[in-house]
Amino acid sequence: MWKKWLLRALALALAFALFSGLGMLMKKGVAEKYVFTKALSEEETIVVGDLSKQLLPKKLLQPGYLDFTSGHRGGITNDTGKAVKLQVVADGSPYDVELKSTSPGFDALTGVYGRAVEDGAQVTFEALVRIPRGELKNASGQEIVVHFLNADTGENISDLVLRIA
Amino acid sequence: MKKTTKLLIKRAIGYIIGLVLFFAPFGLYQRGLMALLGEHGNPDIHKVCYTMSIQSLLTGGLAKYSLGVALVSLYLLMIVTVFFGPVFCGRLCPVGALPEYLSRIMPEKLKLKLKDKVNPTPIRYGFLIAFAAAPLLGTSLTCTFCGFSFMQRLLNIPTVGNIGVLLSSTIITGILWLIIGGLFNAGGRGWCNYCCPVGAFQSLIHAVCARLPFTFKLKIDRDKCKACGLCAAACPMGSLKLEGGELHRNIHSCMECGYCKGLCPTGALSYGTGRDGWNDSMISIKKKETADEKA
Repeated sequence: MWKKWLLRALALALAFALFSGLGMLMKKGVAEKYVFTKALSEEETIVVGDLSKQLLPKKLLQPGYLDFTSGHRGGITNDTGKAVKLQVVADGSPYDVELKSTSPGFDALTGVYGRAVEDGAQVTFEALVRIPRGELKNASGQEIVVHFLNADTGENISDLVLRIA
Repeated sequence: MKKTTKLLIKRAIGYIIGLVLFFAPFGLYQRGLMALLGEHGNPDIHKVCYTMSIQSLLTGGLAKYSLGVALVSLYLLMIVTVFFGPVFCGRLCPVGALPEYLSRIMPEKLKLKLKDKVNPTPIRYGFLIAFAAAPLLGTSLTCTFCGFSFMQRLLNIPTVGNIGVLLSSTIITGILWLIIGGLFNAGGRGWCNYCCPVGAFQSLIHAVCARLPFTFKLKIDRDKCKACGLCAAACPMGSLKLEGGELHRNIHSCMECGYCKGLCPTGALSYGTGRDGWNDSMISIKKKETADEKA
């Protein structure tokens, strides 16, 4: 009987070690997602998407589809001292770029956020970049600039630079 | 129509209801709860996110949660599991159902017999411990290793037009969930058996609460059981086994799907309250045969 329990305990410990190892590998995979935070008072924020850090599964299946994200819960902070109606616009991209946000009322077509962002409040932002497989070799050094504009006046508040390395 | 086909269709209806309830573009459950709680957001599975809330519960981080869809859903899941067992897995969850039904199209000889070879109990609880310890160890087993999230990606394809950005972790998850644990695995429930924290968490609750007389559980009437093995062969989780001419159940991997109950030709298996009968003194097959002969 005790042998049975010992074997079970060993299997449990082995599973714990195995899945913890897998969790470490998964953590490395997270580096394939380029997570950043940004304050609107910063004139420019640079986020580097390093293609060389991709693991084999990503390299084989989807090496040119990149995700730059501020996360699910915010990440873009309005610290300008006043409420602002935000609009995001991608500029100078040689690749297909999709701008997204989970913040309520975001219009993906115009890039305008549904509600004015109060001072101190946060919104989310995500840019999905598609680099065709054939252009991956020459992608290093390319930059995509995302302008954060005042949607009412068109004034450029801040820039986010997505740099491919 | 064959009895097994009827039962599979009946079960599939439950899983489709689960899909409509919990996954975008439908997310009827989230929509209802969001309206009730005055919450906003995307009504997809991430709004419920059982994995993160279970991890927070196990690591003592639940206090950070405000009473919203995720927390209410976790409490509901726990209450349902206490009284009815892991019925969310067995009767509603399409994440487990998809690989199970996929595996049915694969010829048996091409499938791994994982459920017969590797006892799921220590593995799934070992995973649950690793999952709970992940924030302390600096590893990642929530969003990066999530069958629910992958299912949502698949469902996004018709509405968004693509599966979204795949990270290596997502690809490994998809392979383990659908291919190794599903398509090429007997029963198709490899992911549920070994890698799902939501299932393991419910099993843990059920293993304790099934001892209480007022809770629902799978029951056996040893007098009626002829040990034909039909239920054991069909159990997708492999929690029923015929050993030494007697039927045994592993409560730690049973998801209370009711498939065995429907298949049982003698009505020996049932789902209800009271004693479950699994530990009752066994009537050996020989004794039974003798009794049958005498009759």
